[in-house]
Amino acid sequence: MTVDNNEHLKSQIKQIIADTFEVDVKDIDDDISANNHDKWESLNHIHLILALEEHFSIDFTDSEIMEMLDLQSMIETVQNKLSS
Amino acid sequence: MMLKILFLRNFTIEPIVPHLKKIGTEALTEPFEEISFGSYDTMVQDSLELLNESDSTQKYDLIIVSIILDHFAGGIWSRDWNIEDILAELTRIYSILAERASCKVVLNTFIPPHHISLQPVYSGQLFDRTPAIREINQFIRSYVAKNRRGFVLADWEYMSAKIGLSNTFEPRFRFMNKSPFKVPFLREYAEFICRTLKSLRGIIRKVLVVDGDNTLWGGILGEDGTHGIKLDSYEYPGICYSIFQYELLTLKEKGVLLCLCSKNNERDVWQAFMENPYFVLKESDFVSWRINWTDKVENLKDLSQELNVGLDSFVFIDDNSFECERVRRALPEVAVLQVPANISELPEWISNQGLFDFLNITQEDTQRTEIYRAEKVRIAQQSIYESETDFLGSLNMIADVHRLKDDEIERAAQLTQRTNQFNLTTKRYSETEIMRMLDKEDTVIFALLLKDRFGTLGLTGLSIFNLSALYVNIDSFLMSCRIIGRRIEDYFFLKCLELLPSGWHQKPLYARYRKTEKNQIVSNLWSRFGFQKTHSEGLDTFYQIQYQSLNVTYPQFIKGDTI
Repeated sequence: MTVDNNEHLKSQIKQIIADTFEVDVKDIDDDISANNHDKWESLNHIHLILALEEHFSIDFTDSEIMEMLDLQSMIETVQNKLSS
Repeated sequence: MMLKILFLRNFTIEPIVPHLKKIGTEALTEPFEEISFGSYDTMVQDSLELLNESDSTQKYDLIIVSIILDHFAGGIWSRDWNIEDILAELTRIYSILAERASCKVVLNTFIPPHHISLQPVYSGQLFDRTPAIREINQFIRSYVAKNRRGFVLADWEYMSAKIGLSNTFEPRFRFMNKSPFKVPFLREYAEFICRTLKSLRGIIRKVLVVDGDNTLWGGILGEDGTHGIKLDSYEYPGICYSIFQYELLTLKEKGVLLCLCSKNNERDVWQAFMENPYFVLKESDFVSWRINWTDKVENLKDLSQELNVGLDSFVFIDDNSFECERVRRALPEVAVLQVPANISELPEWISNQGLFDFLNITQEDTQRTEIYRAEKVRIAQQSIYESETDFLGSLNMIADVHRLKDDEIERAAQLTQRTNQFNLTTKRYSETEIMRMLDKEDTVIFALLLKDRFGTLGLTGLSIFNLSALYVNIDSFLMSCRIIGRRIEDYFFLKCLELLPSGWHQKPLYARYRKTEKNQIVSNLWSRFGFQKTHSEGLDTFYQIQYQSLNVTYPQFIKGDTI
């Protein structure tokens, strides 16, 4: 996957995070994680997972759900799903 | 007014919130002010604490009990799980709510764990919980049926059957976050909750105006003839139309007023009703009709005037998109439904619209069509009398005023919720609130039953008096619009005072008129009765009088008796 594609995926996911948390997409930093953003609690995590699944038409496994706790791992997991 | 609801639950139901808000915006006239949640493992304590009556800030419009069996009473996967423990714990929660809640409470049934019962082997294994869960569900259904005043049933087993089990459970979040449901189920449940709130708020349509050709029957009566139209219940599409008629009959039995509005020759239509054996509906099921070649918009306005029911309570059904669009544009307050293009959808269609969700059906509801039809005869008679007094005298009215009885509570609550015109204070009460007031020593509620030579008019008046050491206050005084204009209010008011417990006639009477958009008709009632205006405050005008200064007399033409 090219850098451009990667950037495109990142901005899509950022937008989904922003919509789920009901904040401006500008406030979603590259290093956002469940540890550093107070909107990223367990309920919003569910909403986020469901929104990603719907948007990309994919299904996450138990362990993926448990581990995708920051933007970087989210991008990687989604990318793997989409390319497999 | 804004809506406040409370979930008492033992799992993560929060993901329902966006669905509630979305559906609520479309279906309800007021937004949610508050959606609260009890904590997971303390349902019973929460019920006790959150519903402490002395705390008036906690007045909810609806309490929604949402329980799953996963961890309830020891947990469904425990070896010791048994039905008795579940029933005991449910009964304990329900009784607390029955005692404490001042609003309606929604109770859910349970969804059986399908993975065991669907195995192609002997079912009823030791650990198959399905039969037991069905038994529990039956218990919950009959509990709600027996306690309709306080409870509403959310039949999860049925909801899940409707959308399919695979759309119900989300195993990942069920076990990771105690959030067991998928979006389609949450949406179904949110829809149900909004429909319940709509009914509670009295956002219900009262009149259904239905077209004839290709709506009540298939085909065109003028071309196909009495026996050529499609209504035969053994054939397609006849069966769809005859089931549709049956559905309309059910609505009529619930209190919906049916009207027929068709571009046809009136004689042909009634001939078809009489001679085609497949008609489910009869002429007598319709409260009124306009079978003519006049514009349907005019006919609708005319019907609204005749029945004295606002167009915002009307539903209009037609198969013709031109007619539908015309009514939609000219009368936006009317709910317009166009017959579905696939006629096979027609049988279930009307009940899925959420326009006629009655939480309770009273005796007055089941007789409504007959009551309105009698009114038409009355009005026709009126013109042959020279004076109004002669006409009123000819009616032989009999009024029965008495302390509200237990079996009249539903109708009393319904009257407070639906009466807009002849209503001095427009206070809305739930059945539970009326029930509580009946138990209070310092509150007296009177009901008025009325009949005349054309038939019964049912329980059509209600008044609520508060007795304090220093005065008597009239909390509510209201009468159904169908008995306005007969001076019954004079009789009803005097009779109430007469029936007040002795000793109260020396105390001053306090009354109030609260102005609304619809109750102009009674703005002068207290003055007419001789009351003195004391002061005004916002929409309220306050009045006072001593019993002996009252300027009301019993009308000659109303006789008091037990009905």
